[in-house]
Parts: sequence; structure tokens; C-alpha cells
Amino acid sequence: MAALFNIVLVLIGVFVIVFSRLNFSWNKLSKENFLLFSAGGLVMIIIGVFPQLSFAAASVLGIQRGSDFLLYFSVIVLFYLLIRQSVKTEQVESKLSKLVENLAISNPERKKPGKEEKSKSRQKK
Amino acid sequence: MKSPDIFIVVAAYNEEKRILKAISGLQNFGYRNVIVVNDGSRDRTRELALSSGAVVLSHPVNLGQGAALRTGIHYALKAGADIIVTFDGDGQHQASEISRLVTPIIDRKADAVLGSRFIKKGSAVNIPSSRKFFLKAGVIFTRLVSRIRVTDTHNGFRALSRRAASRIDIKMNDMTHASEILDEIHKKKIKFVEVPVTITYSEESVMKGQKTSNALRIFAKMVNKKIFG
Ligand SMILES: Nc1nc2c(ncn2[C@@H]2O[C@H](COP(=O)(O)OP(=O)(O)O)[C@@H](O)[C@H]2O)c(=O)[nH]1
Ligand SMILES: [Mg+2]
Repeated sequence: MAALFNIVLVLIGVFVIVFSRLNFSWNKLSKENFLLFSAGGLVMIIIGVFPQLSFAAASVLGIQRGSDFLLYFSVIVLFYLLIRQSVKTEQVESKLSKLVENLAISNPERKKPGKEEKSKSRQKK
Repeated sequence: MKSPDIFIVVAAYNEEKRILKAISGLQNFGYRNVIVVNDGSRDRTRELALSSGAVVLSHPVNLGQGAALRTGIHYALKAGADIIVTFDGDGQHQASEISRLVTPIIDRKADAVLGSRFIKKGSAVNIPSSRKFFLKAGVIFTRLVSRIRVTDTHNGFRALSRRAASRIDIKMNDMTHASEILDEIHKKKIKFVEVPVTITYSEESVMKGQKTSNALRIFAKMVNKKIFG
């Protein structure tokens, strides 16, 4: 059982690295995130190959089992990634909003009464 | 003294069926500076608003009413507005009541005038009772969270002096901006009054308007904003 778990962990780790490497070369992933994900994949592989490491880490932290340690560890990492992602999304959203606003304000449209084509002149003061 | 330049900002999203009536109502009462912010509508809102002679600012994508008002207000400030009125494009507000909203500003009694349908003499015509319940809950919530004493929070009909409009910072793109504006008024100690207004509910405006369930989302967002800044 433990052996199967270790093999799966190694496979997932390899998959994560390959997947992020591909997305990185397709410009769909920033270098920073590529490194981050690869590091995660690497940790999976290392722990898959040397499960004693997670036992050791668990006992240092006072956790009973190595697998529990892995679980806690991944929840924390995922939580961190989620927060980072939402911050980023928010930043992108606020930049987009600013862009859209500037675009709208610099292109006011008003039709002169009776004329068909729209004129770009704005009300002035 | 010369009469103040009043700008009416109308946020509109897919309002082709109602926008013309809303704009002509405004024009009938002599408001010539009508700014329609067409927020990525997929219907003919832009064309119809243009045909009515309003100034149209278009967002290429839909961002939400808060973002649209921000665009409209910034444009109006740049164009030299003395007073800015926010007005719905779906016919739920009455142009005849704008004079009531701008009077306290002209008389220098307030910098922000908030329409209220629940204050004495205000009214909500044909309001569905579930909507009324949630709006009232929203009022209580706003009193607790923003600590501002108002009788109505989310009807969108308000007037701001130039000074108030430049000081109020709308960050929320969506409907949450309504609570945010109240927050800003309280935080920045902007002098405000409430005046009675009539908000009419037609079947259409209820269908197309905000879902009652949205209230919960707005609630959650405001709590979040309070906690995390
Ligand atoms: N710009 C913009 N305006 C919107 C959006 N959603 C609604 N509105 C406008 O805001 C006003 C009030 O919206 P509505 O949905 O009727 O809200 P309710 O009256 O509170 O139910 C109307 O003029 C709508 O056209 C949006 O996503 N963007
Ligand atoms: Mg409405």
C-alpha cells in the first residue's frame, strides 16, 4: 500500500513538472509560477522516493503520521496559492477597470441632432 | 449667481427597451447633460441612447454598475459638472424628482442627497414584498456596518455636489458600490440628507433587475471589505 502511494506521488510530481514546463514554454505560465510548481513537484518526488523524510518532518512537528504531515503541508500550500491567486486576480481586475474607464472617457460619443453620423465632440466647459 | 451645471449619469446595461423613455423623461425636465454609460451592452442600448442626443460613454466589456458610475462621474467632473445625479436607465426613477434631490446642494445644506423610498412621503410603487424585506434588512445591516443612519440603501437615486463626487472613491465595480458610497460618506464626513423619492416596480424592472439573492452576495462582500479593508 505504502509503495503504491509512493509511486503515485512520484508520478504526480513528474506530471506536475512536465505540465508546468510545457505551459511555461507555451507562455501560459509565468517563470515564477513554473518554478513554484516545479518545486512542489520536486518535493512530491523526493517524498515519494524517501518516505522516511516525511516521517521525520512529522515527528519533528509532533504529528503522528507522515501522511498527515503531507496533508497538512499541502493544505497550507494550496491555501497560500489561492490567496496569491485572488490578489492577482483583483489586481488584474482593477487594471482592467482603469483601462476600460480611460477608453470610455476618451471616446465620448454624441450625435448632433438631425445629423446621422456620430461626432466625437464632447461637451466642454 | 449662474445656475449650476447638473449632469445626470445613467448606468445602462442591456436597457434597449427602457433607456429611451428614461432619457426623454430627463430631457422633458430640461436636463441636457445626460451621460449614458453603456456598460458592454449586447443590445442596442448605445445606438438608442445616441439617437436621443445623450452623451454616450461605452465600456467595451461589462464591468458592473459601480464601474459605470465611476466612469460617468469622472467624465462629468472633467466636463465641469457642479452637481452629479445618478439615475437608473430602466425607468424606475422619476426625472420630476431630481429637483428635490439637487435643492439641498444648491442651498448648500448638504453635499450628498440620497433618495429614499422608505422615508416619510417616499414610496416604492408595486414593490414585491420579498424585495422589501431584503431592502429593509440591508438598511439595518448598513446601520450596523457603515454606522450611517439612512432609511434606504440601494435605490441608486442620489445627487452629489462636485466636492462630494470628487471625494467619494468608488472601488467596487458591481452593485456593492451602493454600500460603498454610504461608507465613504460616513468615513469622509460628507454632509448628507435623505429626501423622499418614488421608485416604481414594473414586472419588467423586477425581472431584469437585481435578484434578491444578490443581497446575500453584497452582504458577504461588505463584511469581507470591513474585515480585510
Ligand atoms: N453599467 C451597468 N449598469 C447596470 C448593470 N446592471 C444594472 N445596471 C443598471 O443599473 C440600473 C439599476 O439596475 P437594476 O438591475 O435595475 O437594479 P435594481 O433596480 O436595484 O433592481 C439600471 O439602469 C441598469 O441598467 C451593469 O452591469 N452595468
Ligand atoms: Mg431596476
